[in-house]
Amino acid sequence: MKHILRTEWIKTKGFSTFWTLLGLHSILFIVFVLIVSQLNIQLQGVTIARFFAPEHLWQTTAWLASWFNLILAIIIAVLTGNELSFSTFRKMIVEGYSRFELMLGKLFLSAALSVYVFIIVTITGIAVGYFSGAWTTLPTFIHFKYTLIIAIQALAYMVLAITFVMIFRSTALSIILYLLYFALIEPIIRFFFNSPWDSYFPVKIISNLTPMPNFLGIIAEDLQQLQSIDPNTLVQVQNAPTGVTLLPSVLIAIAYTLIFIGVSTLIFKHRDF
Amino acid sequence: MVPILSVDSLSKRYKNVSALNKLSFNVNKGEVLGILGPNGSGKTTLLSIILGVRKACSGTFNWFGENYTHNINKRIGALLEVPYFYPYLSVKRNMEITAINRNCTTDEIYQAIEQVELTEKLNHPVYTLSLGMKQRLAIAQTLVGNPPVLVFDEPTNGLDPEGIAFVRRLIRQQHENGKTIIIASHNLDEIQRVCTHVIILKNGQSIANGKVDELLKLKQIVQVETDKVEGLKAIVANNPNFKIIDSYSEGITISVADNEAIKLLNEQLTDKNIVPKLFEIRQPSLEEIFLDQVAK
Repeated sequence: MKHILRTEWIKTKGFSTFWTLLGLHSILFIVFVLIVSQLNIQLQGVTIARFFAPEHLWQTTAWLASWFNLILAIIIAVLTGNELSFSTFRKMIVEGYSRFELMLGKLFLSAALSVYVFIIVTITGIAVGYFSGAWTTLPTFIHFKYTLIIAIQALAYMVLAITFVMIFRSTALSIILYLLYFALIEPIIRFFFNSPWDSYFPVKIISNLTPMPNFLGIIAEDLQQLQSIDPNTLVQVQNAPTGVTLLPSVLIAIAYTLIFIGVSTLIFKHRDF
Repeated sequence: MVPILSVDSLSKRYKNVSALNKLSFNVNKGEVLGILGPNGSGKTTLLSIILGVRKACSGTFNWFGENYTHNINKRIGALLEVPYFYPYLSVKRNMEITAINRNCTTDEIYQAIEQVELTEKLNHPVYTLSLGMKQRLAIAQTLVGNPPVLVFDEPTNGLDPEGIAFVRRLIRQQHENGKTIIIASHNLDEIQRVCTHVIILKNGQSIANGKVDELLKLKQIVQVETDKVEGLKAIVANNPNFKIIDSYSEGITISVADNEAIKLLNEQLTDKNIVPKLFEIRQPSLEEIFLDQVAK
């Protein structure tokens, strides 16, 4: 295992595009979250800063981070696609690497990027917590689980990207089809399925891991303090159904990730390089 | 003695095209085997299969008397088709990737780089190297870890005469060090100079296989020049014992199996009143043997 990690590190360390895209990811994400958290928008007495209050901070930060996970998937697609276009997978087999080790190398890289996501979301969350004045002393970690879950989501996105590259063999084509699958193909397919089956498609499940914070509920909570609202109505808004609940979503997303790994491993095993 | 490589009834099809057809042969320790064949004869497919890059449709092969696993490749230094690298990485980093999997030290990397005279390019990105330098770097990677077997697919591709001479020297040197070497090449002169054994492929099948010296004794070459070239061609075309290897305005070069065939040719020329200006009998080159076999 150690030799695969060393090999992947040498390959990745020297690839300037990797660092450029990763830098782009971290800068875009941090700047975006910091700007959004500092916006002073008030709508009928409800301020946007409420979404970064201690009890909502981690979910909001994780949700915002999920928008940037596609960049990580593109990074992995580029790194895997390079191996095919440079024929270096072929070369590594000739040099005695097993096909499974080639796959494992890319999985390790994806796992490392998931850890990176966890770290950057945690650091950004802490920074936002202090900058927005949510914390005055020690940070609080209510709903911190979303920071761990976004790492799982990132991993699932990246493994799906590897599968796309292994199927289509071209980096550009794979990235285009990957994005189309997210934005168009799966939503169209889902359209033909009734609830609740439409909630169990891969992209739907994986993107649901970091659900949009219940903005309506938060707003209603604030409004209740301004006007008198029936508390029963508020409970209904806060618990508005959002498809599959979190724990099953996590388990199904992990199952999908394992399926993507299985499919990629099969392709690695049987394909002529 | 267990052969270094044993190939048994190996077949590979790409859709409707048969690339290899029940190919069988052995390579013994210390041999330098040349694999010859026209384009599409299955040379690269064969090397790809025995190195685990492609899967055979049927048949088996084993290395060192063992069934093939990916670990076998750690004992083989191989250059398959054009050299492949991470172009953005330096020569040293590319060498490291090969060395890590073979548990080799940095010193061994330097030694291999020195052998191909690329020491001064050690820290240069590979994309800045010329084609010849890349080919030498690829050869250096095959030498990392001092594997007992070397496999080269067109090792002199893209090299200038000096580069070709360099590769030839290196192959001879490695052979003298006791290594078993397999070379697929179009360069017949190259094969004749460095190989001890040869296998000729056509349409994925072996049409000749054996020691180079013995193959060269199988045929004789007769070069005939005359004023009546058309008459000469007619005689040769009507006799299955003769095969035209080369044809030019003053004459033809033919291959014949034995002295009896030469005697027969002489008699027929006399019968037809064709007076040769040149009638030369000589041992064939490997190229002529190749053309003779492939033209069958």
